[in-house]
Formats: sequence, structure tokens, C-alpha cells
Amino acid sequence: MWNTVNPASGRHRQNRKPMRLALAGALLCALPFVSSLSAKESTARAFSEGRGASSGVAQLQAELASSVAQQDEADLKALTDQVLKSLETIAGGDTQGKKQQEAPGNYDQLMRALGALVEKATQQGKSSEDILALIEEALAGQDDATLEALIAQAGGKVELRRLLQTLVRKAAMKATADDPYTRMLQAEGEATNTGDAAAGSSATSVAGDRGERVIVVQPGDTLGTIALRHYGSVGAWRKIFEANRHVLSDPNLVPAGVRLRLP
Amino acid sequence: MFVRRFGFAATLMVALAATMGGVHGAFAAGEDVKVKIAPDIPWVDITIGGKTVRIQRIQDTRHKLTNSFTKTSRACPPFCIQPIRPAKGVHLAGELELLDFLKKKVETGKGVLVDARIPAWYRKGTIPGAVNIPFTLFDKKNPYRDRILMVLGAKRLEDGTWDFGGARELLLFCNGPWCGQSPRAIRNLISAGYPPEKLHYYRGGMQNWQLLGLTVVKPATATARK
Repeated sequence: MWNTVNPASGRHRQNRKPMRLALAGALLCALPFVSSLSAKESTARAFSEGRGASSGVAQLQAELASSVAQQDEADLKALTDQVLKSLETIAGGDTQGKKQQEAPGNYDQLMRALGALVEKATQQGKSSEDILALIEEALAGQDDATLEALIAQAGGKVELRRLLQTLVRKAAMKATADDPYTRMLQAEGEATNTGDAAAGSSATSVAGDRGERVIVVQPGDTLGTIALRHYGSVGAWRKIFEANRHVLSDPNLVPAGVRLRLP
Repeated sequence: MFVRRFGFAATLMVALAATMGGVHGAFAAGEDVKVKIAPDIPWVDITIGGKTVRIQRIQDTRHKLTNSFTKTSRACPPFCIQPIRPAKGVHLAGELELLDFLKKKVETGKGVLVDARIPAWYRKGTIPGAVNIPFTLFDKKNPYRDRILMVLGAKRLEDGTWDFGGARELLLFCNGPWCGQSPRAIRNLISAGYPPEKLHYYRGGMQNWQLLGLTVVKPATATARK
């Protein structure tokens, strides 16, 4: 049934269908496991990335509510079932040779279901890169570009950036050019430091008025990253927030350049 | 020409300023921001893949770069000064146009911001929202090139040719005016059939981006996995 996705792969039309369906089925069943990375782990990752995710603290709070997480798991399961059902419908139409007439509707259905599934997993803060990597692995050795075609047609719902990153990583392993130009680029790149411009650089410490610690918020900092750096725990964000209510009205909005007292 | 330019810039400002609307009330006006991006743009928040990154400038008005991007004289070749337009028909972008592209195209899934440098550079820091597609991967010798084109929205037709009608717009950049990596990527894309009018080039690259104190992110995914 993947052939309806990719006309260019018509040469394998008959043989591979069952195997691919099985693979896809196994794969989609596996998705909930991928997405059940513990909330703690993914939160820790969000902070350790040191990026300016201003939603970090809110995300942390949300993820700590495990009941919510359970609800999400149920949603994921339901969506997975929906995807599997759509897959079966397409496969049925295919074997009866009515593919040309029936596929488009079913295909759209599959796309919607797949899109919704990935969207849900993404919402949960799970790495869709992990999910896509898994799909890639499962489909490895299958028809070229099947997955790409599938996802390209799923539109904006699938995280394009992640898919590209996965592809690029694989491609880079195969297509490492070894010419003088690339070698020089490589050497210069390795020797490059971007220390004073990259986000995540530690906040500058400056002397406070009354001898207490004062830091200047750097681009990319959140209360969470500052708390982690200075108190060793993300949870200390609240303490910092309380001590700086005079300059902060929302823990999720900490503009760079603001001076914060560290209690 | 001047009138048109000004008109465009003004529209851009209004558009970008409008995107600030959702920012929390206390800072909505950005009055406390000393170093803004433009008079009406204190910062730009972009949300991609559920994550929001704030792009803003370093607020310390005495800050100076001290990193490798202060070097003046890398050997040429290969680090040669690039023409303003790498190929005919390609759009030119500065920082404001890039931010506009992030809001209007990248956030909506209609476009991709491409860091065309090899990973050794990319890992050191990139523009928020960028995807690393090294220029080498757009070479026709790369067996994965077609798959990448497909993800970018190009369709392979029955006769083996490509339909770029649904292809996404790309904005490419590399290290700056002395960097040939994104110009190469652009020329390779065009030779693959990518329509030049769907391509944008930010010649300023990481050099100008950092010189203006704009937010740089270290890509976590490039180092965290494997």
C-alpha cells in the first residue's frame, strides 16, 4: 500500500506489501513506548539544552502532573489504533486492485491520523527525532524515500526539522567529501570558538549592593537554567523568582540583561 | 526604488511588531530593553516544534566579541569574499528579513532556515530555528540528495523529472561574507532544479549575526545524540 504514496516505487508493487504493513504496524505500536520517556528525563533534557525556552518552567510544572501524562498516554494509544485502522483499510483496497479509486480518501485518513499521532507526541515534549529515527530504522532497506514521501505529504504536522536532521545525519555519513576545500573547512571549523556569543554561556556574576550575589541574565537563560547553575536544582527557580518579584512579573519571562538577586 | 525599499521595511516592522502582541503585558512594549533589534522590535519570539526561543541582542552596551569571529584574515582561497548574490533570481536577506522569514515561513512550515555549513561549524552555534544541511549534501553525487529534496517538498514525477511547485522556500546562510558554503549549496540546489525564486541568501551569516549581538544557540541534538 505504500506504493500509492510513491508512484516511483511501482516496480515493487506486489511483493513487499505485507511485510511493510507488518513493519509499519509494529512500528506504530512501538510509538507509545518511545513516548513514555519519563517526564523527569525530558524535562531535564529541556533544561540541559540551555536554550531560551521561556516555556521551560511552565513545561516543568505541567510535566510533574502525572495524571495529565496518563491521559496523554491514553490519547496516544487511541491515535495509534486509528492509524493502524487506516493502514488496514488502505491495504484492503490495494489487494482488490481498486487502489486507484479508493486510496486517496484512505490515504488522507492515514495522513491525518499519523499527523495527529506525531503532533500529540510532540506536544508531550517527546523527541519526535526519536520517533522518526525509529521509523527510519524500521523502514530501512525498504523502498527508497517511502518514509520521506509519507511525511512530506503529511504537511506541517510532522516536524520537518527533525526529519531533515535525521536524514542529514545519515547522508553526512555517506557523503563525506574528502577534497582539500572540505578539509580546510573542517580544520577551520574545529578551531573555531564562539564562546562569547553562544547562548547558554554562564551568567556574568557582578557584585551586589549589599554583598549578596547578583547575576545578569544572559540571552537564552531561564529561571530554570539559572537555578540549575547556581543551586544545582531546577526547582530552585521559585526561590529566585520570589526574591526578584520587583523586576519579574512572570517566571516565564526573564529578559536578558536584567539583574537578579540570588537569595 | 527608495520608496519601495522603505515601504517594504516599514511593512516588515509592522508585521514583526504585530507578532509581539502575544508577549506578556509587563514587557509588551519592551520599554526596558536598551538594545532593541529595531525601534519597534525589542525581540522576536519564535516557536518551533513546541519550543520557544527568544531572539534578542546582547544587552551589555560595552560588549565586544572576542571569539573566532573577530578574525580578519583567513586564507583565501578557500575563505574568499563572496558576491552579494550567489545566483540570478535568488532573494537577498538581511537580519530583519531573516526574522520575518522565521515568523512567516518557518513557524508556519512553509519554509526552512538552512545552516549550510559542515557540522564542525554548526556545532559551535547557529541561528535559532536553523536546520543544518551541509552544502555537501546538495551535491548531485550524494545518494541522499533526492530524499532531502523530497522532504523539502519537491515531487518526483513518473518520468524521473522533478516538480518543485510545492517545494518549500529556503533561506540559506553560512559564516558570512567570507564563506562560500551557502553560495555553493544555492548553486547546487539550482542545478538540481530548485527554483531560484524560492531561495533566499543571508550573506551576513554568523559573522554579522554575532557582531550584532543576536541570539546564538548551540544545537543540542547535534551533540546529544550518538
